[in-house]
Amino acid sequence: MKVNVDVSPEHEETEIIIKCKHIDHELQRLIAMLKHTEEKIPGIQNGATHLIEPQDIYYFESVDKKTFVYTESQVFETTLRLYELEEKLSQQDFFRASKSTIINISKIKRLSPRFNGRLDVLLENGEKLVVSRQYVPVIKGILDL
Amino acid sequence: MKRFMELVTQIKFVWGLFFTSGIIVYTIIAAILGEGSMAFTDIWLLGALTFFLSFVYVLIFGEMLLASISIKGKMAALFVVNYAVFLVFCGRVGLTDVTSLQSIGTFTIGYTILFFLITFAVYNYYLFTGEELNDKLTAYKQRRNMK
Repeated sequence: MKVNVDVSPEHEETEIIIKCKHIDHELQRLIAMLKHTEEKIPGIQNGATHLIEPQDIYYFESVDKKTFVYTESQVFETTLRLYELEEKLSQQDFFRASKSTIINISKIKRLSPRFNGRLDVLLENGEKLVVSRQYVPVIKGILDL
Repeated sequence: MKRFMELVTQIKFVWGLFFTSGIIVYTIIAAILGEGSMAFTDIWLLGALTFFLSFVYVLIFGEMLLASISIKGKMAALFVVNYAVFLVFCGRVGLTDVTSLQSIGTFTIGYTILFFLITFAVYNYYLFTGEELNDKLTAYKQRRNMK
């Protein structure tokens, strides 16, 4: 297998093109690996970049134009913006809960409605978040309510 | 400005509910006491008092202020403020004689029963809608795990 890397400032986006006669098992594994890497979220902690599995993420929060990734017990900073994460994870269990948070539904332990139209969210790790009134129909739609 | 607009929206929503409830309760009690009409001034008074109550309610439950107080503390504060407002209103429209201890006693018992009935109804409503939401959440998680 030949590997060519063409580095040029003219390339605006990193692109991987595979040229082959047919797709064999090894190639399938390689493609799966590349796609899997693409789905992971880069998170920075103490200067080191980690690739975080989306299913390990509890929620994302934007604070002072910085985006943070919260796992069960760790916090990472990511270079991605909330709208980019929303787009990237739209096929997964994530939903926009407010202007500053995206929550992983599979990590929600309990939902409690409030009198002011918002929803209290209790996560599996005991953290509490709020779904703002504007985004309550989104979660209700996902849950078929 | 954003927070102010949020506050206004919340007050409008709660005021609508309180005013409607006030009119319904007034109508029922007035009908029991044999009254057939309501003065315009009483409607304005009810409007003003329910607006004040809505403001107090949003301050207590709206999470913009007093967020650290427990729900029991908030309910106790609401009970006291509501009591004062309704006593003023009932005294003003002649449903209660505020100079008579017996009349105030009757009002207090009636108010306490009504307050706890409404609290119980609201609690059950949210318990039910909360259970429904959590049932749907469980079903969603099961569907996702099966895929």
